[in-house]
Amino acid sequence: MKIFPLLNQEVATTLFLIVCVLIVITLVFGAIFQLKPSKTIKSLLEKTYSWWIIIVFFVLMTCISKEFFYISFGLLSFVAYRELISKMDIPLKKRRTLLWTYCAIPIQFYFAYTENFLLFLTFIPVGMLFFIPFRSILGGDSKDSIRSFSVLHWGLMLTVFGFSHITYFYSLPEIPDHAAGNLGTLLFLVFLTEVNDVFQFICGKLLGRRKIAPDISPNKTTEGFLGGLVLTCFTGYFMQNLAALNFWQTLIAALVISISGFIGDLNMSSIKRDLGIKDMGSLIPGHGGILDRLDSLLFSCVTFFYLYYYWIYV
Amino acid sequence: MKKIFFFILYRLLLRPFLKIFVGVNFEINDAFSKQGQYIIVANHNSHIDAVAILACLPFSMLDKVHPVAAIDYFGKNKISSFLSEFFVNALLVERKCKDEVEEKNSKAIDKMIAYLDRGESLLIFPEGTRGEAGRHAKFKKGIAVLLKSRPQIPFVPIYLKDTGNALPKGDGMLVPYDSYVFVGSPIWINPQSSIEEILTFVETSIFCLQSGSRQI
Repeated sequence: MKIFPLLNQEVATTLFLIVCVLIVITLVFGAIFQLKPSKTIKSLLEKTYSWWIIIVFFVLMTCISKEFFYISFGLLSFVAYRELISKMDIPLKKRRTLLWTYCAIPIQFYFAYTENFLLFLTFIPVGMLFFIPFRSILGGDSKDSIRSFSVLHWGLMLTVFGFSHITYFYSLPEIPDHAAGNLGTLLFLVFLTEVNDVFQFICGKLLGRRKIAPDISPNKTTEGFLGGLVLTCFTGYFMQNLAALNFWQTLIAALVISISGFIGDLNMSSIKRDLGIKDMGSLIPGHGGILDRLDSLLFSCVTFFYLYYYWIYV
Repeated sequence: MKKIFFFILYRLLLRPFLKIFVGVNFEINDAFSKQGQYIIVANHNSHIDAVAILACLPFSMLDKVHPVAAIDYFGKNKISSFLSEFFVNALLVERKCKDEVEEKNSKAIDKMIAYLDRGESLLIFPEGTRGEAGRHAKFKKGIAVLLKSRPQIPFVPIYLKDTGNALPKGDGMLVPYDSYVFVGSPIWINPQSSIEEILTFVETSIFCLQSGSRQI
């Protein structure tokens, strides 16, 4: 009996390499911290520990069983949605409607599980769009209606509908001669999104001079964005075997992931800026809440999904 | 035995449930993990409050803390008072209905002092009622009287944020909503201060926990 029945040779090799790199990074930061403790290196070390947690979670969530995969990503989506909606100050009169929107999460992930593409695509964008005002009208209170309708639906679209695309990779039919399988495609997406974040952060810190969106996020620079773009494409080239894509497709996919990840990052930044908060929560040490970590993935999983679907299945 | 029962109930079952499903974030101070006798004081907005506070207690204190609850609400009948005493370890007292009913008031205080003298800890919500979500009622005097009569026992301020949105008064449906439990360090009062001074001191030490934290 295998512990991780969904894990295959290709993905295992890549994961092994990622873990090796992470070990080296942890050791280097740990050594620097022992020799010359400083605040910067401590926060970097904290971030590295969080990466360990994230990679362990990724393996547990994706490799144990298909059912567990959908349930755990549904749970993640639930936590993200709750984190987002709790900041939005939904009036107490609308809390029954809010409860119903929570019920949409298992349904959406169930559609992904049963590979029902039509319902998967329409349930939240169309179904919930009409259901939210319906339930809210039954409550008989008009105060804050526009804001509640739009915030609830937009929250569902962003953290549930958008994010559930990541699980649909498992629902797509397997491509023949693709050794890494759908798990490989998923790892390709998640890994490139996350390293893109890291590359943008590093390039921004080292070379960053021109601010790209000073009103939204003062930390984002043109140099960081371009550096991340180039390095992500470069990394994507080595990950070619994970997704069933040829050279040019891999390059374009890496570009799209990098750009949409950047936009997702700015999207969350502008929400936080608007609310006047620094982090969306305090779940992951050094990273803030779950939305602070998922921000770029929320966007890149959707863009990459449709690009991939177009290339392979249309 | 009770301790193990409470450990299973609160630490193994309710705490993960509150954390993952309801969305309660526990911000627990290290100073609290030491064993001792405390009077825990918190603001009150929801039925979650007492459960969430019990769920963040250290193992050694789990069966020592008695939430002080109103007998007219939790002791309505025998079953309800048994349940609140068995599952929440509640200490049921007469709630002061009108400010002037001094006799009733002192009876409740005497009961609490008797518990303190037995070495037990108390959890008190000085607002006296849950009130509307997000609103803070004025603190009742009882807590200050209690602290002044036993100044050797420190109080632990706890600030609960947004629990009223997850389970507000007047609505029995639990809706997941991110809320926060901020636990402060134990504080001793100055026995020379007046009741009013102690009351203001307790109130400010609870509400300043909110501004001192990272979340706003």
